[in-house]
Order: sequence, then structure tokens, then C-alpha cells
Amino acid sequence: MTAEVLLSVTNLTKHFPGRGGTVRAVDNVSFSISRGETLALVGESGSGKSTTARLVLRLLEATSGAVEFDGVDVLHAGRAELRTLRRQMQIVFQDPYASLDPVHRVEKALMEPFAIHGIGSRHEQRASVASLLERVGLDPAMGRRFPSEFSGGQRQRIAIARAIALEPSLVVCDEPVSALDVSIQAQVLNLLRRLQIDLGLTYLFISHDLSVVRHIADRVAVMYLGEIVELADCDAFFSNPRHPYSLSLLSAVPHPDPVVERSRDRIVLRGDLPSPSNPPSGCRFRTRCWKAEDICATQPPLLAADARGHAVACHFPEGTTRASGSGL
Amino acid sequence: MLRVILRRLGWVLVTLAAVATFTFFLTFLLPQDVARTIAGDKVSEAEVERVRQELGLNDSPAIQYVRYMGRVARLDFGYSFVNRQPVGEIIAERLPRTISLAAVAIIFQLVVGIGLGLATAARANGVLDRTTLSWAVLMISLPTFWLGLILLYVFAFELGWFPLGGADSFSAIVLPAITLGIAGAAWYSRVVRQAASETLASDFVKELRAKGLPRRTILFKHVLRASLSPVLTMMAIDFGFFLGGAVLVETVYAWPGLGLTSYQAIETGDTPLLMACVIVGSAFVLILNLAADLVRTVIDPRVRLG
Amino acid sequence: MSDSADHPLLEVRNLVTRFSTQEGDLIAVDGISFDIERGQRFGIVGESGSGKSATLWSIIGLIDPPGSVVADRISFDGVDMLGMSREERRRIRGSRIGFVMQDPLAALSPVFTVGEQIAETIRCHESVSRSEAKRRAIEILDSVGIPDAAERVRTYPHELSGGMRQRVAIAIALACNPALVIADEPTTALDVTIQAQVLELLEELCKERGVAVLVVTHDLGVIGRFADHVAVMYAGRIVEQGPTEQLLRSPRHPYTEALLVSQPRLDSERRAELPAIPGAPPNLLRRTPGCAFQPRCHRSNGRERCCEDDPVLHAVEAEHASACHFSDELGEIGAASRDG
Repeated sequence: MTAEVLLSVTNLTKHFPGRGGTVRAVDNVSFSISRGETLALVGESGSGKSTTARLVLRLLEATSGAVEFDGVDVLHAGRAELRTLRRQMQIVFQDPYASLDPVHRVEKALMEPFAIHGIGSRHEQRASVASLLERVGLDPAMGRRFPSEFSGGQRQRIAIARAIALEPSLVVCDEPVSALDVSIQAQVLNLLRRLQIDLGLTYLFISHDLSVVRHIADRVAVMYLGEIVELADCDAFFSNPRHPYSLSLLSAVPHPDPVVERSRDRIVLRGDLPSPSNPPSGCRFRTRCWKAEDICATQPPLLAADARGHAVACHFPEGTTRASGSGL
Repeated sequence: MLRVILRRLGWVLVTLAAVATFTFFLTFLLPQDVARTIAGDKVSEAEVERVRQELGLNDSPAIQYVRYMGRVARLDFGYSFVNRQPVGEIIAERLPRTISLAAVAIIFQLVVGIGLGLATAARANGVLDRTTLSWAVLMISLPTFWLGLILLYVFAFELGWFPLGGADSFSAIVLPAITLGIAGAAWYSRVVRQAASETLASDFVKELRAKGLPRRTILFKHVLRASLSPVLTMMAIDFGFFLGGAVLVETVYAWPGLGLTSYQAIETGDTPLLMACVIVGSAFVLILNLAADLVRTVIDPRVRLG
Repeated sequence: MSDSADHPLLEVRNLVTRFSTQEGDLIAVDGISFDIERGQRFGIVGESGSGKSATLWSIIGLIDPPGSVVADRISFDGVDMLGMSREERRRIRGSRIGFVMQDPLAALSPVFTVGEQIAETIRCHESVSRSEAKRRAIEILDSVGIPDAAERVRTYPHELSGGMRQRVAIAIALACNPALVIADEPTTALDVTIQAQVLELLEELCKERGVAVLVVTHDLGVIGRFADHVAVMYAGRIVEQGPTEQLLRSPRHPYTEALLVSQPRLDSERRAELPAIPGAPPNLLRRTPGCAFQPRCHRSNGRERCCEDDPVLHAVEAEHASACHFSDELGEIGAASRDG
């Protein structure tokens, strides 16, 4: 890919002090996102995907590593620089009920970003809010209402409107549709896609739902216990997943067609996620992996890319190319 | 776990030492000449000076402090010149009285508070619930000594059901215990009701009902246990205070416990006795707090001692 | 109990559950009927507010005021549950009908060990000794795939992982060998790999113990994976019902169809505009005449019948019923996308 890199993350690490020892929530994570691209961070709870997003936005301070956004060193940015950065990097949270202040009219919530950065007169701000609401598919007159008068889907639209108010270049979407009803999820996914095309947005898309990721992402990074275990273009990843964990994740997604569902081989992982404060030696996935051998316990596999840029951290990655779809 | 307990006990000792230090230096601020009090008004200044010498009152405060702390550490609280008796003996004599009063008051407080709390939570906004609420507000705002005097007047003086004071008969404990515990009972009933209502609305009670448990098992086993934690902490603090001597109640009912003793010690300027009362009282508050935390770890395994 | 051959295990006829609110009656469940056979895996799928959970709670008699339940018939194993006393219904809950809730951490008592919680269920329905109840608790924990069951009975729920907790919850539901297990979103609070484990476990239990399972979910994937028979609920009513395979392959109600095509799948066309369902579910306080799905329906096009006549559930094929006036217009969906 020759596109300009907007965000590059190198060896990002976050350790939390915990009761049972240091929790290595994010460990040596590296990736980059080009302008206009969507990178999905996929993983289960405890994988470190949300922590990674917060480190990138500096909502949390990293233990070590580097984050470069549009040429700016995010982790060492001063107060003023950070302020400019925050205009450029926004976040949409999972729970639209928690992210809006119930006592303020929606209009006020949407004017806030302008007010914080001192952009435009009150009148201009109001006009911007109206056009924002329209952009996310809501009636501008709805700005006079309170969050409680909106459904979950509408609230998520408002949260998205707030995130794009200052025309950021990067939007972090942290499980933006997980809390929504199924009939609403598609609306919000469509909106996110349309906004990306219209505004040239770059997305860091955090999700546990591989069907959604497959639909929206250009590239996929799979995280397990704080580490990226596979990083590839979306097509390559879904047609030819190489890490056993990726395989099991894909296999776990139930398919609504019972015929397809019955015909596929299912990999059901044994056991649970090990404690992140005491991860297994060597490969962290080995305790649940059906392919694990002695080397897996002693040598941590490195994330290595093949010629087409498909990177996997496994001593015994899946190699054979499989037919798209049917094999899953 | 044992290490945590030992560490917490260590802190109890440190806090007690601080209390002892504080009370010690406080006595220097009192406008009282201990030697003169002991020697009596009619003796000569030379005689007073001799007493002062004998008691080491002429030594520097630092030396007196070290000597004092050394004695306290050996649980030797000195001699009460007012009562002509070692302080330790007085405390040992009065303490059981206070313990029995405090225990009866706490039991009253717990039984009434938890019972009413559960009953009102099970029938929220019923007649009982609304009555208890007004009762609770009234009891919490009434001054204890006033309530004590009223009860004394009605039940002891007019009706003659209980003795007017002292600790000579078994029934003598009833009025002081009720006076001491009634505000707490009212307060507990509201706290328990709040906790129990929250528990009753929770998913795990739904699950218990779905399991087919009878309502009383749900209420008295699960809801009760889940609602006990806040009450326990409060109870420990209350019990500590009661043991330290409920000054007002003991005085109103002439109950010869630590509270009355402290009151008398203040009146007669019996400094060693007063200091001992303060230290013993503080010790109870601290130790019971620790005990409550220990019990909470048993009741709720998610709670850990820190 | 009567002869098991001549009636379904659970029979629900015209169940109506309403909640009185300050703004009027909210009809959460609006006259639904269905049967569950012995050993069947029955799924109810719907969004929040569709009435799917209220249906479950109504069946086991746990709708509290201001809610109320009426029905022509709710019978379990041939016995009418509506006519039962509270005590009789309590005896069925937890013994003949087990229940699994969505979030096992919230559903389990934090202050008792998992062993105590299983044994308690057994002891409240059967007169067995403490040690016998404990022995059975270990046995059940073992059968739901908890390693070192004899050790794990002594642990508290917070010491277990999410997947283990859900296994414990299932163990409690199974403690008295029920004929029916009702599971309310049993996988929603779990991670995907753990979801797969729990579904597999439920499936095994059906096969090995012959237990009928009623699963309520919002996830069509879980239905496709697990259920033999499915009812789709929308705004308090069953809008479509039938054998899972048939219903999911050739839905005969536009809502089912829209749900199926609007969700991205692992085998659908990537990055295209999803055929989203516009609007939001209706307000159950103010029911309008006609089909409840009509304002969001991509097939109605404002046709008069949809706006005026209440559609009723009618058979479109053997065992397959739809509540759409124009169910004939629907057929098999996207064979291409499936084989793609």
C-alpha cells in the first residue's frame, strides 16, 4: 500500500499494577493505519483491544512505545499539542446511554466541541449542529430534545455526530454497534461507512464481532492477551486465516443458516483466557491451542509477515489457502 | 490473611499509643494541680511539694511521658486519688456493667433494626414501611438524654415497671438499653430496608425465585445476608462507642459503667481515671472495627482485608 | 403427571402480559401461542422490547405487579399452570423447569459457594441429606464440564471465569433433572469462543438427557446453531414461526427476512451498503391499527391492508406460520450469498 500513513503505533506497551502481579494489558503492539483506511482490532474481553485504543488517544498513559499521528509524537505531546491532536482524533464509545449527559439537550452536547475549541459564534455553532444532525440522519429539530427521548440507535448517531463535529481525521470506534439492537446495527454501520466516504475518515475499529469487522474493515489485527497474533488485509484474513486463534474465533461465529452451520467443522476452544497477570510462557495462546508443541512453551513466536504482508505470530501457522466462505 | 490481621492489629496499637499521647499532653492543659488535689487543701506548700516530688511531677514532661507510656503499656493506669483505689481496679469493676449494657443495647438495635428493615423491604410503601420511616426520623432526631428521661418518667416513675436507676436488678437494664439502642435500631431499619430492596430487585433474587426457593428462604437467607454488610460496620462502631461508655445514658439511669465513671472523673478532676476511660474506650472502638472487617470477609467472600 | 404421549411438554395459548404504567397499559406480550415438545430445542428470537423475556417470566409465573398475565392456557406436562397455587408453581420452578439467565455473575449469589447454591436447589425440592445434595452437586458440575468438580464446589462465583459461571448456572438449572430448561440470552454476556462452548454444552444436554430447551436470544446465529424450531417475536407478537432451517432459509415474514439480510455475515458481500431496517421498534403503549412492522417494512409500500388490518399468524406450509398479509410474496433468500 502506498497511501500515506496517518497513525503508526510501535511497540506500544501498557502494564497495570495488579494484585496477582503486573497485568500486561498491552504488550509490544505495533501497527499502522493509512489515511482513509479502516483497521479493525479484534479480540475477546481481556485481549487489550480497548486499552490499545485508549493509549493511542492518550486517554491512558502508555508504559512504553511510540504513537505517531500525522507526524506528531502523541505520547510526548505537550498540553497545547495534545489539544490540537484531540481535535484530530475522536472516539465513539460502545454504550450510547452512558456517553451522553442526560441533563443536557442534545444540541448542547453537540455544541460542546465547538465551544471547547472556541470555534465560531454561538449562531454559527447552532448552524453547524443542525447540519451535523442532518448528516447523521436525524431531524435538526431534534437538537432541542434530551438524550432520554432518543432510542439507542439515535443516541449512537448523536455520539457519532459529536465525534465528527470538528472534522477529525481519525475516529476510534469502540464496539460502536455491540449495544444496539440487531435491526439498528445495520443502520449505524451504513452511516459509519457513508461518513468515511464523504469525509475521508480513518477508522480504528474495535470489535469482538467478526461479521461486522469483515463488513467494515480494510485490515484486521487480532489480539490475544495483549498481543497482536495476526495482522492482515481483510480479504486475506477471512479467506485464509493463519493463526489458530483466528481460526477458532471465526469458527465460533454462529451462522444463521442451519445448513451451513451444520456442515462446517467447528473448533471449540478448551478452557478460558489465562490471567493477563500471569500469561503462559512462550506463545500465550498455547494453553488453548490444539497445535501446541514443546517449542510453543519455550519460544514466543514473533509476528512475521509473508510476501503479501500477511503477518502471523505462530510457530505452526495455517498455510493452505482455503476457498472463501464455504470452509468456515 | 494472618499477616493482614497482625498488620491491622499493629495499627490498632499505634493508634492507641497516639490516643494515650494525646490524652497525656492534654492533662498539662488542665488548670489543675494534681499534687494539691491529692494532698488536700489544708496542707502546707512544703507538703504539696513533697507529693509532687513523690509522683515525679517535677520531672520534665518528656521523662513523665516516657514513664507514663511505660505504665500504660503494662496496662497500669495508676492510682485514683479521688477514689483511693488503683484505676485498674475501678475499670475492672465498672467494665462488666458497661459490657452488659452495650451488648443488650446492640442486640436490641440489631434485632429490631434488621427485623423492621426486612419487613419493610418485603412490603415497600406499606403501612409498616411508612410508620417506620416517621419513627426513624423521630428517633434519630431526639436527644438521647431527653428520651431517657421520658422513658424513666413513664415506665419507672409512673408505671413502676422498672427500677428508677442503678444496676441492682435484672430488669434495670431494659430502659437504659432501649434508650441507648433505639436511635440505632431506627437507623439500621432504614439501612437494611435500602440494602434489602436493592437486593430484592437484583438478578440473583430473580434467579433464586426461578430456582423455586420459598420466599422466606430467599428473604432470611439470601437477602438478609446480602444486606448485613453495611449494618455490621455500623454495629461495630456503635458497639465500640457503647463500650467506651454511653456517658449520657449511664448518667441518666445512674448505671455504674464506664460512662458514668468518665462523667464522675471529669466532675472530680480524677485525671488518671479519665485518661484510662478514654484509652479503654478507644481500644474498644478500634478493635471492634477490625473485628467487623474480619466478619465482613466471612459474610461476603468478595471483600478482602487491605 | 399424565401420560406423556398425548400432549406437548409446554403448551402456551393466547398469552397476554401487560404492565400498567402511568402512561397506560404496556402490552409486552400480545396473545402468543406455541408448543414445545419433549426434548425439543425451541428458540424465540427478537429484539429488546419484543416481549421475548416477558414471555419466559410469564411462563414460570414470575411477573410481579404492576405486571399481570392472562392466557387461555399455559400447561406444563399436561397440567394447567394458571390454575395452580403460588406454592404449586414454586415447586415446579427449579425442579421440573430449570432457568438460565443472561449474566451469570449477576444471577449467582456472591456470598455462597457454587456447591452450596446447587445443593440448595436440590434440597428445596427434594428431601435429601446435606451430604447427598453435595455429592449430587459435584456430579452435576462434573457433567457440565467443570474440571476438578470436587474442588470447584467450594469456590465462589467471583473466583470463576464468565464461561465457568455460566456452566454453574446451567448446573443449577439441571440440578433436579428438569424436563425443560429455559435460557434467557444464555450466551450474550460471553465472549465468542466461550459462547461456542456454552452452546455445545446445551446441545449435549439435550441429546444426553432428553431435556427440552427454550432459548431466547436476539442473535439469529445462535438460533441457526442451536434451535430445531423458532418463533420470531416483534412488538409482543409472534410474527413467524416454524422449523429453523425452513424459516431461516425461506422466511415468510418481511421482518425475519430483513433481519437476516441486514446483518453482515461471514459470507455476505463485503463493504456494500447493508439493507438496513429503517426506523425503530414501535411504542408498545400506543398500538396503531394494522401490522406493527408496517412502518419499517420494505414490502408493504403503504398498502392499505397492512395499515388497517391486523395480520394473524396463519400456516404457510406445514408447521410454518407467518403473520404477514403478503407472506406469499416471500421466498427463499439469497441462495447466491449462501453458497458464495
